[in-house]
Amino acid sequence: MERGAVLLRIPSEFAIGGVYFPPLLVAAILGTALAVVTASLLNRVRLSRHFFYPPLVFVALAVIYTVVIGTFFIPV
Amino acid sequence: MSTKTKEAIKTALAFALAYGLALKTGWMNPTWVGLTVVVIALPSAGQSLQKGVLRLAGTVPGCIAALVIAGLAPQSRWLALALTCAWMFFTTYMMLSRPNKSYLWNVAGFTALIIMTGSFESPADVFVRAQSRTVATVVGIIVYTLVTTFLWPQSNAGAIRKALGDLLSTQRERFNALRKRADDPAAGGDLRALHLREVQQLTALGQALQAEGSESYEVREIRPELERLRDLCSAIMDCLDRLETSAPTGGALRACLPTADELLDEIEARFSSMVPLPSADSTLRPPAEVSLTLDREALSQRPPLDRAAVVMARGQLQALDALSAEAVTRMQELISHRSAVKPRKGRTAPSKQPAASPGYDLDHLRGATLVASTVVAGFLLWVFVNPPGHASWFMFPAIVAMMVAGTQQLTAKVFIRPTAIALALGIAIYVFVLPKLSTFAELGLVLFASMFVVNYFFKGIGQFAGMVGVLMGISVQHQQAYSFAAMANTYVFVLFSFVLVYVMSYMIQSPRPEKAVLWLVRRFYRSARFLVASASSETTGPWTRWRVAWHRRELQRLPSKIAGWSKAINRKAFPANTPERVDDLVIGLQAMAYRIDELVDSRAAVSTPSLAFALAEDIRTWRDRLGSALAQWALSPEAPVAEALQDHLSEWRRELDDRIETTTRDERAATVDDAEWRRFYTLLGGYRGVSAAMLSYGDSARQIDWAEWREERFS
Repeated sequence: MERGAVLLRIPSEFAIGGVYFPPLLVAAILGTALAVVTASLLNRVRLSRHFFYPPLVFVALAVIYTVVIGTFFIPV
Repeated sequence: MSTKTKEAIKTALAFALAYGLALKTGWMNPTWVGLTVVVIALPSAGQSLQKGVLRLAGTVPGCIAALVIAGLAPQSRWLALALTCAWMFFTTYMMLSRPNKSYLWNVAGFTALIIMTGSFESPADVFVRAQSRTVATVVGIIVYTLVTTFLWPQSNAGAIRKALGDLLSTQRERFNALRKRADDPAAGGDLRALHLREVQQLTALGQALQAEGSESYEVREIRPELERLRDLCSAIMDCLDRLETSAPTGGALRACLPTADELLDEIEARFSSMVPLPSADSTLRPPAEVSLTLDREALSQRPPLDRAAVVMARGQLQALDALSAEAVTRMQELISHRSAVKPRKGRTAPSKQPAASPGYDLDHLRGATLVASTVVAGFLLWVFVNPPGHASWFMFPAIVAMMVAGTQQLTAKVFIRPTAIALALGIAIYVFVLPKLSTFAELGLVLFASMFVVNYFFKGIGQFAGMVGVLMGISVQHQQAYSFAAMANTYVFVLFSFVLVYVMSYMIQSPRPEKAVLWLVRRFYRSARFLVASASSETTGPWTRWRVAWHRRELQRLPSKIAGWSKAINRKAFPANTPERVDDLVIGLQAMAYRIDELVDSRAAVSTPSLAFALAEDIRTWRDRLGSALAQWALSPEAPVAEALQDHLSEWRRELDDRIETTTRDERAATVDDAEWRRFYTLLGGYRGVSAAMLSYGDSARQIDWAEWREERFS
């Protein structure tokens, strides 16, 4: 693996105005935001009626998105 | 200057002064004094004083409970958790089931949590902490009371008079509208709007009694009389509700009750004598006695079920007669300053109360369970995960859960936005402004300005959440030290606390309004079915009596709970179920509840089965059909049972004439007196009323798209 790719995968804090935020927090916020967007889209096209318990699906979506973001975009 | 501006200035000034006093004297936590001020800040001095007294009365038992728990479980975290859960469960249940002392129990609950949290951090300080909390509460109450008394004081003087006058005026209007509608079903105006106004005015009267009673010695002296008058108005409202949903046509009433018009005129005259409210020392026209005689000949000309309806309506009119007469008598006593010290003579209107102590309320238990389980969840999070906020996870989410339990139609989501904005404002002040201040004059100005902004621009729940957000954001201590990390952690902790409560509310039961309505409607059917079945039960042991009382109370309360939840449903998400259709559904349920209540009463009135013997088989069959219809509705509210019921009712009507004729010819019937016949018709009227209410409700239920509400969706 190239050196740059290895560096890219090392978790590092986000510095906003001199304040450091943990990468997991950022990934979780983005994951939750994406879950909100997905849920409203599913509501709009009435696909949510096929779920047994949407609140659990929402939590699952948020976790999946967080893991995906943490794996591919923001190393946690 | 507008009232809104004045109120914002008063709260902000008291807030700044309270902080100043706490900082000057060096108490443990100046935030507590400020918190007391913002919580008891209400428009009038009386209301604030009342809330302040309740806060103090709740703080003391809360502190004692915390000291006892800390003393019993100084080294055992699980025992401490179990005892705290039990206390929170108890106080939340009391908060929900005692509306007059609701705030007292709320304070008793969260005060114990606050003191307990401190005891986890430093057990040696627990007594000082409890003492300091009590003193801070007292000082906060004194500061706000002084400010509101001397700066633009707002009195409640005359509030009771105005509220009572408005309520009686609406009741007169509604009574007249019902009279008109009895003659012409299209007349009578908007009865629903009148009923809504009546409910609001009754609530306003209760609030006025609390507020004016807390600032006037004279009002406190006659408070029992005023409360009895309010209870009478409430009973009159109940009576009008029953008449609205059951009264036969004016023609039928006049034919069978020749003096009906005379009685209705007399009741109208009683209302008129009280509206507008008479001045002090005036004399009201004494209520006249009108006997509501039954014309047996005219009655016998009518079909049996119509006879039953007339007998039922007669009972309701007699109840309204007694209630309105007593209201006039009480009013006369009040205006001539003869208070409740003397026991009353003469007739007293019966109060409609459940027959026995019905015990617990399911919704209150659910609220108490939410709070207790949130305490456990917060504690486990703190002990095993220890996220930002640390020991506060044990306290703050449970306090939010208590608020959510108190207003069940509101979810924790409602609090998040105003708290997030106000907390951000508070933190911005903490980071950018506070470090530059050097005197209390400057700090006082900042405190005043921030609290003024929140008071002026936020309202309702948002205002309260905003004030708490500012309090937590602007963290002022005796030895001030600044830590951005601590503040950022507080921000994350507060918002995630709301998320925890939101998640916990889903664990207990879905807080989505449409699901709550479906659940409550199912509960309604189950209770209705039980009561219809028990209406003929021969077993009347204590357990059955308790269950009957419990289900009757369920039936009394469920329609208003369903109405409350239905208003919280997102109309855009469920366009098929318009507010008008949902209102019709609730009115149908309310009518059914009244009729079933009357049926249970009528069953109790038939002391001997002397007349029921001939029709026992018919009544049993009919009862089984009603029970079966209710059972089907409990399984599926859209079940087309009303059509089958209509067919059976028509068939029964045809057969009943012959049966009654046969019964009257029976030799055993000859020994039955008039009173027993009346009771028999009351029983028959009970079944007729329930059947008619169910048929009418069936029409409303068909208009509702139940599948839409059942459909799962993200909230």
